Amino acid sequence: MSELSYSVAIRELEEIIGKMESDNCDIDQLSTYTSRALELLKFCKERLFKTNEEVERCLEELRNALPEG
Amino acid sequence: MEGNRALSLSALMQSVGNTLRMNPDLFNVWVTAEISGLHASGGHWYMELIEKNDAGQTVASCRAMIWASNVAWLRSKFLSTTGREITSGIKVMVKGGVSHHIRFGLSFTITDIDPSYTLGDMERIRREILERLHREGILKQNKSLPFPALPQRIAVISSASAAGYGDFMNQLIGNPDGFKYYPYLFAATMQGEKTSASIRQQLELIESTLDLWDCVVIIRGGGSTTDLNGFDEYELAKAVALFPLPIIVGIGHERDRTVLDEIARVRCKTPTAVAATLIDALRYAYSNIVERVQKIARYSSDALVGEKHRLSNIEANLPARVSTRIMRAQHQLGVLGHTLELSVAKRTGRERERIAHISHAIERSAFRRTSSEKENLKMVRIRLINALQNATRRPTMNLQNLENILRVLSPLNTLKRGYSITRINGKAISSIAELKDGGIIETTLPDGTVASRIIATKENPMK
Repeated sequence: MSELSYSVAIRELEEIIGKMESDNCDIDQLSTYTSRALELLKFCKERLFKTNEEVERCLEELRNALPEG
Repeated sequence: MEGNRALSLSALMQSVGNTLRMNPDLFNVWVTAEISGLHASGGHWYMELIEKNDAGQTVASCRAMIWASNVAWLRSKFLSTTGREITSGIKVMVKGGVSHHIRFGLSFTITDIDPSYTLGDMERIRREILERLHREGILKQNKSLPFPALPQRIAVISSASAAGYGDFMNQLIGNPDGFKYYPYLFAATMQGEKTSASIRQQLELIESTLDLWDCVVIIRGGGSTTDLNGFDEYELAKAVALFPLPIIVGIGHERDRTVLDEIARVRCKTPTAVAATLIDALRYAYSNIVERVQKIARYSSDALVGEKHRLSNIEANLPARVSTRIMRAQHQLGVLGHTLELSVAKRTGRERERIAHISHAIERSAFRRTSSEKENLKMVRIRLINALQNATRRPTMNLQNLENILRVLSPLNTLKRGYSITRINGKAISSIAELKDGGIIETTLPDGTVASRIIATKENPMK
């Protein structure tokens, strides 16, 4: 789930790079590309560094459901 | 009497012992066997050496022991080579001698061990398991799973009390980059005979909540004293190979590997190394993102710089280009003008030629004309002169002639010759048809006129 959107973010970054690499890169699009890239970066960083409450909740549920070994 | 010949049991056992001691082949002999029922007592180790046939049935057995004085060094010798403890269930090659106790009977006293034999045997077992998995086509199954881009939700199979687990958790949670992880312990027995079943049970549990996990970590619970025997087991190896999530193992030993090391997606030497692998994965993911974003920033600024450069280039070259353009236009104009001039010249030249031709023709014809006129004039003059000359010569003769003619033609002379002129009302008549009876006619004679009345007229029959 989180995995999926992370890979989507990475793929989009790749696409943006691909577009910017190509010779017919539209100068008008530069700021759009860059700001989108930063947005994706922010998202990815959050995945890496910030607590994912959804996952914590799942683990808590698991803790209650499964016998502690 | 038979009773007299009978030996006491102790005497018999004594005799057996003496016989054994006399056979040098029973001392310092190397024997291969499997250890069974190992236990320690008073510092000494006691066990059963057994031999099984291919069907797994015990075909031979003998009590054996290691005296306390030998235990420590034999154990460390074995451990340092095999990475394992001397335990039940392993095959060993041991050196020792057969001894006999009158109360405890036959036993084998172990004085040395050859760990390489066990190593070879363990290797054989592992190879057999791996070959079997290979035949079943599942050997590389877990290894071929993609490693998750973000291994954050980690199902940990270990023992809660184990030092290795603690090391792993400390390393992971306290990672210097501050990456977020969600490890969860699935506690299992990590040594001894129960290892395989216990781990497999936890794997099943994880599989039932598969969506919650990015990967599975299996780390050895204890420190260096744990043995690895439980891991080289077919059912466990199969469960790991078939598991749908990538498995990272940290159960190996510096010098030794288990079957799981060959099957799992990632193999690490220690639990700490497993944690490092997970941290590295996120670090890689992070640097990847950063690199991409930097790339984008670089492309962006490069593109801007390039564009700026292009613009300034255009700006710099503009005057030169304009003047070049103007020069070219001038040149074109010049060429055009020249062409025009040429064509005009050609045209006017032709016209001029024509005009010259015409004027020449006019001149020529005028000349011809005037010269003929002149000729004419000349002729006229000559004729005039001639005429004048003639005229001055002729009048005398002409006047003579005229006088003669006039004389002949004068009516007076005619009248004198007898002719008369008859007129009526002043008009001379020449026919009787003009006369009427009773009309007055006037007859002119040379010396006068006569008026007469017409009485009759008579037509001349000669006429």
